[in-house]
Amino acid sequence: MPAASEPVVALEIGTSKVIALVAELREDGHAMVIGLGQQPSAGVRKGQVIDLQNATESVRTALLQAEENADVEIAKIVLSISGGHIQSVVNRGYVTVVDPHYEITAETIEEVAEIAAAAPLTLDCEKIHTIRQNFSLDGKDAVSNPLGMEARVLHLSSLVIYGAQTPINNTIKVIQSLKLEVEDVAFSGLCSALAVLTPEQKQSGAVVLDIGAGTIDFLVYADNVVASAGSIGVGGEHLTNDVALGLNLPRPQAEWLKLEHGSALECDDDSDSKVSIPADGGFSGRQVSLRALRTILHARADEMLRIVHDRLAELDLLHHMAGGVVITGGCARLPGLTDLALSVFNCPCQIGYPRNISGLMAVSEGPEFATASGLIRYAYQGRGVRQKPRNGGLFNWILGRSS
Amino acid sequence: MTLQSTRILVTGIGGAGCRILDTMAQSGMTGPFYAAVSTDSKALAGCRVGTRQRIGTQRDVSFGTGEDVERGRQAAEESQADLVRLFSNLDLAFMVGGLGGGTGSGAMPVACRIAREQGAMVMAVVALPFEFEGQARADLARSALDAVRAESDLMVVIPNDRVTDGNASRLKDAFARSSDLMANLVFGLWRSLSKPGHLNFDFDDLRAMVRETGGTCTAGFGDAVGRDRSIEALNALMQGRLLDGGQRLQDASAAIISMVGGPDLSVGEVDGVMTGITARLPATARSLLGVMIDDGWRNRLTVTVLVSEAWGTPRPRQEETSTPPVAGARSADRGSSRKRPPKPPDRQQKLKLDFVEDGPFRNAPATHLGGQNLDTPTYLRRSISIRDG
Repeated sequence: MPAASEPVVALEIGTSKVIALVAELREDGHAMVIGLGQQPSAGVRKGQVIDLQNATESVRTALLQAEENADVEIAKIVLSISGGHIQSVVNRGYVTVVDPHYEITAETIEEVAEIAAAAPLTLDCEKIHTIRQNFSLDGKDAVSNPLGMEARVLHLSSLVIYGAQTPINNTIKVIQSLKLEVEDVAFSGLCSALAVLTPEQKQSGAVVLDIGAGTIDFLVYADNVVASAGSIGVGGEHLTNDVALGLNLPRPQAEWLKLEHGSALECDDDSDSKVSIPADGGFSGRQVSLRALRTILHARADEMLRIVHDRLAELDLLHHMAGGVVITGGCARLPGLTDLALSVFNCPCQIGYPRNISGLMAVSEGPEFATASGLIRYAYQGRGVRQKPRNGGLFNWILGRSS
Repeated sequence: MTLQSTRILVTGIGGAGCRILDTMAQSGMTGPFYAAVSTDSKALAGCRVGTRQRIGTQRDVSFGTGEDVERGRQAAEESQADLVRLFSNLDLAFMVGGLGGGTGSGAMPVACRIAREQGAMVMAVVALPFEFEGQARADLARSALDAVRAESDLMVVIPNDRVTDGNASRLKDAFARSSDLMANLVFGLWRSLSKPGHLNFDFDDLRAMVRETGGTCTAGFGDAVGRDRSIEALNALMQGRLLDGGQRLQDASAAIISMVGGPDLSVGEVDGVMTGITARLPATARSLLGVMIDDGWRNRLTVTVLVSEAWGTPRPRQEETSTPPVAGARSADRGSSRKRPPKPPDRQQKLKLDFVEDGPFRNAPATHLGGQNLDTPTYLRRSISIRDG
């Protein structure tokens, strides 16, 4: 068992870039970044690896960069997983308390946890997390820790976050082909929530939207428990693609426009100002209408937020989010997005920056580092209180280092 | 996840249609919204479903059409306003019925047209009469088939003769069996399109298939319980008369395979059935697979296959509306419906083909939600015009 101070290497294979963070845990609980590797991704679409060789190359470069930067030798990593296949389900279990005095023992809790974790998934699915929600005694009183209490029947609900086996395995294969060990994997939406939410927000209920280039990963806290999570295969690349098609531009120019002049809000006046796109390589330069650009971006951004809104409405979670909406991920930088979210969700909205992490300004001030920062917290939590060995050993590739 | 918000209505038209809906509602196939439509108020009264709509004016108070196709058509047109109300706000309308009678043959093409005009995708599931019902009915059914095909997006045809195994069945059993099978088929289709499956196909996939198959299909059905369920279900499917002992697969250009199993369904079983079916398809045939997991299906496996099959004259193309007019459908009507400006969903389909399939998401898993392909720009799907310059 490694000491808690041994550095953690967090790796996110994103749709637009690969991020490798090396961090140590300080005594005050802060994580200190000691190395960073960043590379444009190749072979990744909507959070999923579609070209193993290209993806492996970009991961290798990012890891080498981080290794050099932190002056450590990387042997194992924690990996975030994303993609539209990731979903969650609330699974409930109960056990009858057999103790003559109806006292709930650690074994009873263990037993009910096992039942609540056993969500009926098909064989092509893989469980990523099982998160305990609430215990309840005889189906009535909700308690967070029933140990030693008295009840005839102990209920427990768990949120099971799961995804399709194939894309998960393909992401792990990237690490496998680099002859590295995967210490743990975590859903990137969970990581982002760990990174950006304050304890108060968790308590009063909040939703984290990590809007990256390829996916929206979301996680909802309601009544101090993780109530739902999932991923939708839409993101910043869709914004860019809509601009490219709508204004008939090459993708690099569309991306530039989005970053330099983009907004999630429509133009609110009648003026028709123009934006000049500079010439570059084969592109001879052009002027486009700012109004057209913002109309296109607004339509897509509005739709992205509404998809999540509708999902939460279906689950009846909208009224349990006093803490509001926290938007993070690269798209959080799109101006006007929080204002748009305010009108869609009708509750406070803000940009989520990684908390309790220091050492590198770029990280603590960049919403695009939320997943990687949260992954570090997740890894340290996992090392501290290691619950149980994972089932099946899928996530414990121990392959040795070749070089 | 996909299609949760899809609005689907299962409509039974005419005597046979009402019988099939009643079978569905009475045998616990709950979930779909049902509507029975008939000229015969007695038949309607016997159909125990949520919505019942009598068509036609009071004049022929409700003894049905007396096998008169023209009266069936008139009845539907007289009740156009009621049908518009019934079919408004739908994504998909199933039209279920038997061809060869008055209401089924006459009213169904009209109902299909109205549903389509309301923007719904129309899937007609029709039965052709038994041979013993006589040549006149068979001829009537054939011409009605062309009329329905012209007004529907996808038509699934089940000749009743393929339902029974030869002459052994008694008359009463034969009809019951036909209703039973149609009920299972419609329910199976409804479920694949409305419930999230683990391997799912959706509207867009279906549309693509429809284009490739020319819009007409027949269906096969296999159901088995026990340890060897996958082998037995496959055998039932292959040996059944519905697919002519597997013959229909060999001539098919496309197939939609839908399986329902319990949580105990294994990848091996799915693979086995899939291989068993695709091996019999021509190498060039396209196939779509949908797998549903249902807790009630533990230890059981149901396989439904739709295979393209050409029925009668080729489906009229966009500009060729010169097919001879058939009973039950005025040629003017058909002409105008073919030339009708394409509905918004169809336009998306084209845009998707033109732009996005070559775009950055080409090799990525498509993102479908609520019947929409999210890779298509939002402004196109919301019909927002972009004026640049």
